[in-house]
Amino acid sequence: MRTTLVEELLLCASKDKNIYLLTGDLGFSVFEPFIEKFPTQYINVGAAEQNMAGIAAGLALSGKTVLIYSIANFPTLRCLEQIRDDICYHQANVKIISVGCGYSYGLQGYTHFGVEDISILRTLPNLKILSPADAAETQLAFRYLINEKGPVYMRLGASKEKTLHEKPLADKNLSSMIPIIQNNDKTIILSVGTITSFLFEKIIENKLLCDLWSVPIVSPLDENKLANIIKSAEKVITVEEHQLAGGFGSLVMETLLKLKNNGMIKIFPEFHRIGVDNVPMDDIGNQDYLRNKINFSALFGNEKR
Amino acid sequence: MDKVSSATLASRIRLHTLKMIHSAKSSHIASCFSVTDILAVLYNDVMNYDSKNPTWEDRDRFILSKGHAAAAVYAVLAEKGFIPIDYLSTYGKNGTKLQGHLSHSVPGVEISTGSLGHGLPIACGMALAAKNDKKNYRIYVVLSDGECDEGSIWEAAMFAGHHQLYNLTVIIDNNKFQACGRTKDILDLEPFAQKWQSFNWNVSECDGHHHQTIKDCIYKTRDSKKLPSVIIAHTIKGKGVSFMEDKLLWHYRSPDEVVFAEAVKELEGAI
Repeated sequence: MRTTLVEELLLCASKDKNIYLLTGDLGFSVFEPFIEKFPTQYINVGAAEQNMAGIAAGLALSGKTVLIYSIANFPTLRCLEQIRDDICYHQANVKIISVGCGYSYGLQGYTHFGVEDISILRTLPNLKILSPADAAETQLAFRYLINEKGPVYMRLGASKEKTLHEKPLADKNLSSMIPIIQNNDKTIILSVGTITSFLFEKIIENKLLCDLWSVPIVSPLDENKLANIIKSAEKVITVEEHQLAGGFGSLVMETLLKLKNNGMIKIFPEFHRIGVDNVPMDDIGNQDYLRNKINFSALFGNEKR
Repeated sequence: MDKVSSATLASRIRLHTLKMIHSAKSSHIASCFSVTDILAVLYNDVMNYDSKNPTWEDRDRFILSKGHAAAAVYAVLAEKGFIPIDYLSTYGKNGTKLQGHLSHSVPGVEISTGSLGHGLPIACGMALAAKNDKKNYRIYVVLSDGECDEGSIWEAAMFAGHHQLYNLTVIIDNNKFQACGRTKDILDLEPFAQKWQSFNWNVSECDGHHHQTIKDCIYKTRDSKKLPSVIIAHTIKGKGVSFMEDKLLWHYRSPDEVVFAEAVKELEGAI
C-alpha cells in the first residue's frame, strides 16, 4: 500500500507543483524518491503533529494540496483539534494519511493500534474517510483523494498487506463498495480496510455462502448503494479491525435505520457487527494473532463466544 | 472611507467593541481593549489589503490567534469597509456571523480561532507558501501571552526559526494576564524574550499602546531577510477605560447600564 501511495504521489506531483507532502518525522526509506524529485514540496516538520496539521491548513489556504503523513494515531488523534478547527472547519485541502490501521503494528502495543480513528473522525464535518483493503484499492483511493477539493483521511496498512484483488481494478474511479464474493445475496458481509483479505480467506476456508463487499469509502457512506446491495438480504454483517463503539458497523447500522425510516428499505435485516470489543492491552501479538481475538462467530450463524 | 489617524481608529474600535459586548451581554472586553492599538496600527498603517476584494491574492494576511478578542477585529473590519458598520449591532445575536470567537465567514477574516495555540502553526504554513512562491506579502499574527502556555506555539516557533520564515511577524499582546490570574503566578513565561531568541527569532519589545513605537517595531520586522520576528507588545488589559485597566474581572464581566454609560463617556472623550 505504501509503495502504491508513493508511486501515485510521484505521478501527481510531477504534474502539479502545488502538491506538498508533510511528515511528522516518519516515512524513513518510503519517501526518498519523492524527496529527491521534489525537495521543496517535502517537509519533515519533526515530531510535532499539532504543528504539522496547522501548517498543512495554512499551506492549503494558500492554494496548496497538502498531504500529511504519519503512523497510527499520530496524524489523527494527536492533533484532533487541529484537524477539527484548522482543517475541517476551513474545508482546507488537506489529505491526512495514516499507515498502521487496525493492528498493523500489533507487536508495538496499544499506543500503536489504529482502532478508534473511524469512530472519532467520522463525526468531524467535511471530512471524507477512505479505508482501502489492498494496494489495488489504494491506487484508486489515492486518485479519489487527490481529486477531492477538501479534507480527506485515508487509513492504510503498514506494509506487505495481502492482495485482495489479483489485478488492478478495472474501474477508472473508486467505487464506494466493491464486490469481492457473490454467492448469496441473502447474507451480505460488508468489510472495511485490510482485514478484508483475512476475512476473505476465512470465508473461503469455511465455504461460507455469502456476498462479500469491500467498502473503501467509509464516510460519507453511499446510502443508495447500500440500499441496493441489501435489497434481498436477510442478514447483514459488518467486519472491521476497529472498535465496535461508533465504528464502521455502527455507521452502517445508523444508515440502515435511516434507510428504513425514509422507506428506502422495507425491512431492517438481521444485523451483526464484527470488530474489536475489548481491546487487548496486555496480551500482545502480531496482526493475525490479534485479529484472531476478534469474535467472528456471527459469520457462522451464532454470536456465542 | 475617510482616512483617520490610528489613534482615532483605536478609539472608534474601543467604542464599537464596548457597545457590541454590552448589547450582547458577552465577555472579553478587556482582552479586546488590550489588543486594540495593535489592530489600529496594523490596519491603518501597515497591512496591504483591499476591503472590496478581501481575498486579493497578494494581500497581507492577518491572524488573530487569541480569537476571544473577535469583537475588536470585527470593529476594525467595519471601520475599514469590509463589513457595514451597522452590522456590528448583530454581534452575539441569533443568526449573526459575528460570533464571540473569530469567524472566517466574516469578510476579511482569514481563519477562525477560539481554541488557543492554533494561529501560529497556520501562519507558518501561509508564510512557507509565500516564501516558496516568492510572494511579497507578509503574515501578521497576534498571540496573547497566556496563549504561549500551549505547546503548539513552541512547535511552530521552532519550525519558523528553522525554516527562516522571514515574512512572518508575530505580535504578542502581553497584558500579563491569563484566564485565571497573572501569567507570572499561573505559568511564568519569563524569560520570555530570551525564549523566542533561543528559538531563532528576531525579538523586540514595545509599549503596545504607543502607536508610533508599535509601527516602528513592525516596520523593522519587514526588513528581516532571514529570521521570523516577534514583538512583545507590553499592554494593559482593559486599556482605555480607566476602571477596567489591569483588572481580570473584565475578562469576564459584561458592563451593566451604569458602567456602560461611564465607559462610553470616557471613550467618547478620547475621540
